[in-house]
Amino acid sequence: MEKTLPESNSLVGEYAYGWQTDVEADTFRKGLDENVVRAISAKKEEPQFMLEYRLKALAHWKTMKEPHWCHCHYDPIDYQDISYFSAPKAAGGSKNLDEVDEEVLRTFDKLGIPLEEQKWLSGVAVDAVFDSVSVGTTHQKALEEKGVLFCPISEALQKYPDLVRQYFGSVVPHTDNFIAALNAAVFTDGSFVYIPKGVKCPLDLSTYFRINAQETGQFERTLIVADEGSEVSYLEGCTAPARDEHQLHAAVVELIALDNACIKYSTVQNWYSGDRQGKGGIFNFVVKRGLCKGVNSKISWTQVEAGAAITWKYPSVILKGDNSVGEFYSVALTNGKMQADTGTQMIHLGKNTRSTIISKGISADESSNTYRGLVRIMPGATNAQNFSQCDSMLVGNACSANTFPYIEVHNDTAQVGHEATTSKLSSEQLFYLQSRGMDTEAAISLLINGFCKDVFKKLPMEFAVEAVKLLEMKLEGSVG
Amino acid sequence: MIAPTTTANTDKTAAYQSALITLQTQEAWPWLKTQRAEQYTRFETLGFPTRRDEDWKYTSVKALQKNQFTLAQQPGHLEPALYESLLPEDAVSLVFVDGFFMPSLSRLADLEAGLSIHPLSALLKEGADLAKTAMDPWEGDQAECFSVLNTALARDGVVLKVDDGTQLTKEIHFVHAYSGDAHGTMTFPRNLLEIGSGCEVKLFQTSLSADPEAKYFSNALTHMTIGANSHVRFVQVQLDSLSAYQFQMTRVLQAQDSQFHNFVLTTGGDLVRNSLAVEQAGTGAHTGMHGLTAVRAKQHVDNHTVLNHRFEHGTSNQLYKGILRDEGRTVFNGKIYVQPAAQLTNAYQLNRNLLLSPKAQAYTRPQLEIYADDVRCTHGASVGPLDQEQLFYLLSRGIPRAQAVSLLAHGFVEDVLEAVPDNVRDRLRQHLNDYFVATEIN
Repeated sequence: MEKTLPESNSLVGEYAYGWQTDVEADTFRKGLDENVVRAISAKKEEPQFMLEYRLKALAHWKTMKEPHWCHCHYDPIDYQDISYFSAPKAAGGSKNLDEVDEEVLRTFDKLGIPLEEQKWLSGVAVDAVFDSVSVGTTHQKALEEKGVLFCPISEALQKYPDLVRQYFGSVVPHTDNFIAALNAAVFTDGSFVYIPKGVKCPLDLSTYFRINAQETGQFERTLIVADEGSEVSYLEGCTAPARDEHQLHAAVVELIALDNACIKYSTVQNWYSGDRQGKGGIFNFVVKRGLCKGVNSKISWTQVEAGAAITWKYPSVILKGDNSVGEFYSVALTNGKMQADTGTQMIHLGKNTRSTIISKGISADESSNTYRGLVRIMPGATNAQNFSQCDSMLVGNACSANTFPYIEVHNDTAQVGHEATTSKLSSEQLFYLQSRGMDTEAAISLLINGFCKDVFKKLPMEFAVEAVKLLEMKLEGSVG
Repeated sequence: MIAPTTTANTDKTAAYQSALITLQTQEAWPWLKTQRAEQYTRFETLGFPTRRDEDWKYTSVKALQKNQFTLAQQPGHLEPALYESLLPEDAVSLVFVDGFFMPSLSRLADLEAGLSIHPLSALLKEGADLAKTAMDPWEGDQAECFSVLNTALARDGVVLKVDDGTQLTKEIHFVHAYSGDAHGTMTFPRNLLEIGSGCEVKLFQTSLSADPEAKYFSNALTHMTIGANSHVRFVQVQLDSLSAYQFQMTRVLQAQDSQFHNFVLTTGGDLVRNSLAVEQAGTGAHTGMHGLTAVRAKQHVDNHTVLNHRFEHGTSNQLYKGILRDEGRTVFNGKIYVQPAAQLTNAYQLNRNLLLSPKAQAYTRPQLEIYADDVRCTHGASVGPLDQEQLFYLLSRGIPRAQAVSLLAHGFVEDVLEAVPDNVRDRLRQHLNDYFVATEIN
């Protein structure tokens, strides 16, 4: 058995997004107290109710203990050693792309997210979030025609306070957990989406998150509401510069689907994951939850998790409406010293609710990759169905793969099934491809793609291409 | 010497503390007194698990804590007819009534060569070295409140040794029977089973109660070591009263190329927790873990398994099935570790549950934790009702509903029963029949 680790330069691949943009930033002093929360709220010119909500959340957060059940190891986080707000100076509050700092625009260009209208061609509306503020949202006009609201949440709070108030915190209340409470107190920006009744959103909506400033945390908040009979597909991507210190990304995403509505949420996460020694990287602690509030509604999460030093998130669906559908498709790749503890929760409340979980974990090098998923069938969820499949692949002999499903059934008409396998990359398949003249890396890439196919085919086209490339880049040199 | 107690714990643990004092006044050996006191203190420090503990997430021991059990002063009267039908004619048997070893009811004459068996109580009386080994505190990281409590308060059990190269032909049965006087008592059976290399051993353990309502608490701990190339089968049958608290911890260490097959059938008990931890301490070992749980009324049965693959070429096969009626609850929590050195491991784990009534609840957590790459590990879990088409088919042939359900349920568990040899399977099936007779199916 080959026991050697790959050469140090080969693996933790070149993190292509590791550079930093030099913009003058308006950054708060480190620390978290009531004044910081008030200052954030004032900066964002928020309505009074939001400030009250933030302060309530902060008070609650202070009473909470940080949870440690995650299957990961990290040094304690000093929450007072983080700056809770950072904005590129010129961009703060700009409504118009012309006002956005050149440097910031160039950053997004470099990331392949040109905010200019050429994006028209790909038919995707983008909201770009730079540290704590949204720097520009494209295609506003086309969306407005259909009545679709897509803007930074700080803007939504000013423009549509009642709408935000109605749904904000209704899926992930500030009392839900430690991260949710922290986020509710200090969230800075994120996207707000409202799709009116019967509207099929004409464009895919997308948010691109970029952490730039040092020693800051990013606390984004996304709220998507799909009114009766509407449909929307939302994409999210993220990167950060390579730095020696860990940075915290603690986000909350809430989705609400009313009667007959459908929300599809896709993530390609490529935060900086630290260097070979596990130095630096983003702590990606995220609470994502969707509520299928209405009958026949559907929420689908698709995620490709390829970055971050630690990923700790469980995009969940609460299936409240009768006949509602929840889906979770995930590829989680860990390499270097990355740690991921990710999965989903499917809470069945309504009758005839269905959920599907497909999770593919790939661990390489010295990484640890854990699937943790909960399927809970409540007493009223007659004829609920769930199917879960979790496959793990190990590449190299210093990594680990864990599968921790939780299945709780309180209704005798429920049908719940879970299957999981763990195995290594098949040497026979590899040999077959190599014997046809394919080099090792191309062969491995092909096999990995095959392994993840069930998930990739759920991604929107552009994202699928990006995801495949991302995995290839990440795995470069990890197998030998 | 009495262990100091914290005031907060006093109420909940008063009964255990008085049991400790009783034992300490009855026993002569200083080492034993000291050890009991130490372990008792440790128990108080650890405290009872709560549902915040990941390992006790679905099983609450609050109801148990509300009781004030006492140590039985003497065994109650028991008609041997209660258990005799369960024992083959030629089986070696050790019978315990209310936790006391009963020489008159046991069959320990003419043991096969290479086999030695002692009741723990006799060894403790003599102060034999073997008693020290048997009472040795469990210092492993899996030590928890209940194992420590057992070490503090154990006074009887089985110490069994099988010499190298011994192939036993007769079955060995441990019977834990509870008499009509068992209500309100607690026992702490403790077994040490040392099996040499190249042996073949068939062990059975049955717990049952004369009084179907008796509320007693049994907290048992079994240590087993299996030598190289040995083949051991352990069948546990739990037919306790529907009010009983039955806690079993079984810890097994397997040497290379050994085979260990565990089977646990549970139809009795109000709250049952079976904790089985097996460690493969040599290459090429095979472990079979099988379980069949049939619950009714408000029974709660928790099967907790840990399988630690530490060496190459290990294999394991785990299958637990549950049938749930009334407001019964089953919990399956199975963990497979594959350590970095355990390459070429092949592990399989499956838990399936059949829900037969609206208020039944099944919780299942099959878990894999894998640190080696060249392995094949698969696990699965399912929870669901009877196939309505199959049921309809039988009903349409004029088979009464109760019988049809029973037929399908028997079919559902048939593959688990295949894990035991024919003659054992028939006996187990009988218990399952009793379960179906006891639960009125409609």
